[in-house]
Amino acid sequence: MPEWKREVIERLAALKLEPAREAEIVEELSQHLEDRYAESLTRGATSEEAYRVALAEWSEGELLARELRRVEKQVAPELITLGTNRRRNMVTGLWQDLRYGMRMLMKQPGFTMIAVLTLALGIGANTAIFSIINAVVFRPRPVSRPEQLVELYSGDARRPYMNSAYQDFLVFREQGDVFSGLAAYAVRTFKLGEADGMEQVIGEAVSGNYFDLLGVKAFSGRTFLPEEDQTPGSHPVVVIGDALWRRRFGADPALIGKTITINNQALTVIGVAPPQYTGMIRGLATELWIPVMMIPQLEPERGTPMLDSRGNSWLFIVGRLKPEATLEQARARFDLISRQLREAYPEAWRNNRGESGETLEKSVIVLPESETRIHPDAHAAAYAFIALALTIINLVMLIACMNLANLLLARATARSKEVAVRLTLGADAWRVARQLLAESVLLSSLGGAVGVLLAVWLLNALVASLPALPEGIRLAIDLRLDWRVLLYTSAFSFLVGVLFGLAPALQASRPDVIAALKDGADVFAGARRQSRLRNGLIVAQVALSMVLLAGAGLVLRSLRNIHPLSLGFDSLNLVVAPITLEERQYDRASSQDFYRRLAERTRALPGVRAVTFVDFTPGMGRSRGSVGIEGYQPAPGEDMQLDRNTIGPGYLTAMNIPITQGRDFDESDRDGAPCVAVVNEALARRYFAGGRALGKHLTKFRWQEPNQFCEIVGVVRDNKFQSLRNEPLPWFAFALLQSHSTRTTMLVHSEGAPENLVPAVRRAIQSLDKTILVADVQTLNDTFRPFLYFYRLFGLLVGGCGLLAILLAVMGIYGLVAYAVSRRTREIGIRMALGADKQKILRLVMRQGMILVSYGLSVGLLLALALTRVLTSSIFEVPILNGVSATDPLTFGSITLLLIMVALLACYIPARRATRVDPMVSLRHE
Amino acid sequence: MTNINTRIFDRELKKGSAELLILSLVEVRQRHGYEISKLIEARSGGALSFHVASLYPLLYRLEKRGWIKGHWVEKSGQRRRRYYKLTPEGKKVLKAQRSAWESFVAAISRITGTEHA
Repeated sequence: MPEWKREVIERLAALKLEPAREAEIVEELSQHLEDRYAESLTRGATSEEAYRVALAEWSEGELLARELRRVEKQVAPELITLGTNRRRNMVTGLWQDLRYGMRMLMKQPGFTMIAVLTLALGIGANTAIFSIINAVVFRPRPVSRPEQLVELYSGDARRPYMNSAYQDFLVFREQGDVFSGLAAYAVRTFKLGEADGMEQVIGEAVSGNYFDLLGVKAFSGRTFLPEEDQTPGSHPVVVIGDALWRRRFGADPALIGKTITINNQALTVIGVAPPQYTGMIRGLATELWIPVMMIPQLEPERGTPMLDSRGNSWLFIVGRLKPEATLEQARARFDLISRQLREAYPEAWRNNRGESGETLEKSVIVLPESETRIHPDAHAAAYAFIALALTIINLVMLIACMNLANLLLARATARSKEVAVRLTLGADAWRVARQLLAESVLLSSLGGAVGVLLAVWLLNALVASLPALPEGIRLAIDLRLDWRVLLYTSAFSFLVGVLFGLAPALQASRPDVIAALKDGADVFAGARRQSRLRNGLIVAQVALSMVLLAGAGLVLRSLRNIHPLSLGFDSLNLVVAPITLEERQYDRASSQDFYRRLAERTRALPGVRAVTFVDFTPGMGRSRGSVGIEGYQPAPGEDMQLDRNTIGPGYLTAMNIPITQGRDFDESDRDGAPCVAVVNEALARRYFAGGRALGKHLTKFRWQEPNQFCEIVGVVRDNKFQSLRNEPLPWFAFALLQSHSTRTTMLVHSEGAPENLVPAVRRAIQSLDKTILVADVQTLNDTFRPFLYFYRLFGLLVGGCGLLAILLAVMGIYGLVAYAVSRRTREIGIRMALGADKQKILRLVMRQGMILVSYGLSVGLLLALALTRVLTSSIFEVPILNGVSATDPLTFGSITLLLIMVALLACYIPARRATRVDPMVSLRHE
Repeated sequence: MTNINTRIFDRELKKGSAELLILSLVEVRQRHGYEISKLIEARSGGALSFHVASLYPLLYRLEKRGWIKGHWVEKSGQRRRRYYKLTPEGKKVLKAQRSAWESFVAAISRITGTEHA
């Protein structure tokens, strides 16, 4: 009896069918052939003939294979709509993959937890940063129909985004027929309350139609009426913000109709703004709103020129486009209006001078609301910071993904036999890969979900940690997670999952099948491709860690450099008291007299060593001014705006600033005496031959008075008090008693702890003038706090990422070496049984890991040297690095050392474990 | 008509009607593959014959579509065989195909002017 089964099997071999299915087919077909054979026999044929007849069934040789292949591969019936069925089957396939993936992950809870946690950290941090970006850049202002809003800026080619004058606003309003309305607003600081309870708050001066235009309705009471913004000073009314209402007035419902004191004047509260509206400036909490018409009264030192003069550009302009108008139409209209204004008012609109002395023309720029959430001038810096933060966080994310990829590769290798069998039996390689990919996407989705929770926690912690800002500035930023953030997180998680899952999935679905099926084979050596990939991942991880750590090291060193301690400020025990005098109350003589009397009274306090004055301390502001220098002709367009201060008598001495030539200012340098100046060595070197500045003169440019020639009576060493920058800039100073200053800072040098003097200094100031704000009197260290906050935060970010990077790199190296050891256990056992030295084996195993680490370090070093330069870019507007160069050898050296030591440890532990094992045990190891 | 043309013509016709044949043969009772091929040969007087290569792929295709259902039956003293029967879905398809075939033949007849065989 011929072996029909064998015949069938032979013909079906090429098809690689699933074994069970193949068995069925084989049985059925062989049965058919047997029947045919038997029938021929009964008809009287010989066995040979019968055999031939039966074989004739195979006449269309290839046809069977072809047909079967078509049928067995077919998933969907062809006649039913092709589209729906294929999709349905793909969905069920995907669902199966996910369920299977879930089971696989739950089988190894340790691995799953570590992976999810790692992912949650990275994705959570990303989400947090994106939330901030969302709150600052993407979210529209909380007004009605923000897409219809635009803002107008009047500027020239040099500074295009400037504010507008009130008179120009009136023209815009009258002629801007593309708008259904135009409103003006400006941010001002106000003194709220009286005497001890006085605090500084931020408010907006707005046109009467402001709230109506924006569609912001009062939470309680009402907003402004048009007649309240017609005549100056006629309607002293104020709308207060919800936060202020709660904070200072206890959410008192009876506040409406009562008066409050603003800038020492009584204004009537007519309404409370809704809680979600905090003004037009992103991030800044506006606490109250007053009509523009009240400004001349509330700021008398500026007076009616605020409304009359075209030279006073202090207003932002916001407009709502008519539904049928477009942005282009608005722009065209305002080009026309600009031209008309240039012709009608050439002094204001045509007379700005550029750097080379050319005249600059002003024109109006119209920008949609979406582009004004951050002031256009700050766009570059803002985006630069955002890019930097995202880059840092995603470098860590990348390292984490590489770690996970390595872990997955290891897992896939462990399952390689299973995969190999599946593939030989005809499974689709793509299907296998897809299933592995589903696992990684599942991991990253879980990580993303936990990450969102982490992000919320992080953001809350961030907001809680914000220090109090000076001058009554309060932050108002809506960091809630909205659909944009959730969408970003989902997409990001998915991409991350694909990223770290792709390589292992592809690798795993194409294993070296023969090697995998053979027992005890050294797959590590055999699967060259896979080990290359894993090694490459380690090298990349180490390199990226290097970059991150270098950046972190530089920033952290910078931080130390600007801390008051290292600047030498700490030893000064200073109380800093900013003084602002009401301009209408203090003319030149009375302001100088005030300072003299204040200094006297303060000096008399117990524990006071000295009292001096300066206009700005570092960290509280920077002052620049134009000056003429004797004997120096500036080149056309050269910027003669230099750093300057106005200092009181004895300032330099009290602050221990070394005077290298000449003397300090003293009490005799006052009005009536010859005008004097001091400069620093940088200025002397730059503008005077041989640096001999003593006896030469500076020209003091004065407003509405003739210029003065001031003799340089002192030259000081370059120091950190004028500026925190690394290279000293030229600096000069004039005497307080020879200036009309209504804004200065009193420095009280204390014998003991400065904190103790603060209340006494406040009282001393108030005893001379009750209307002066004393809330900002604090120690020098306290003035640095908001300034340092930013650097601290940044340092935290970079440092945290650096730490994470080391951790991940260590995990990666450890994993790699441990894996290599497990693969070579037998080999190690043999070596040891043959008498090999334990130390030698240790070194052998560690060498493998350390070679990779050294590659990574070299690459990382080069990368870091190239990339840290970015931190010094001027696009950030704030110096990120202070006192360290971007290629600081100390930092780089110590980072390299750190990484080497950490890597050695990571290699050593698993290697040592390998040598500990009994050779007999390892020989039997499979 | 030349020989080649006839062969092609036959093949095309066979392809189109093969499903109909199988479905109708298992309509009344379940049958196994060999039985089906014998019946076709017998009832067509030898004009149509299905070999292993074309019969079984077709059976599997019909089974995948859910028009026929196969199951293994083991009768005493015999090897087990796979029997196929018509499913309710298959019944509907058979009805549809039958009427389609009849219309098709009628149309062809009208055009070519031959009498319905």
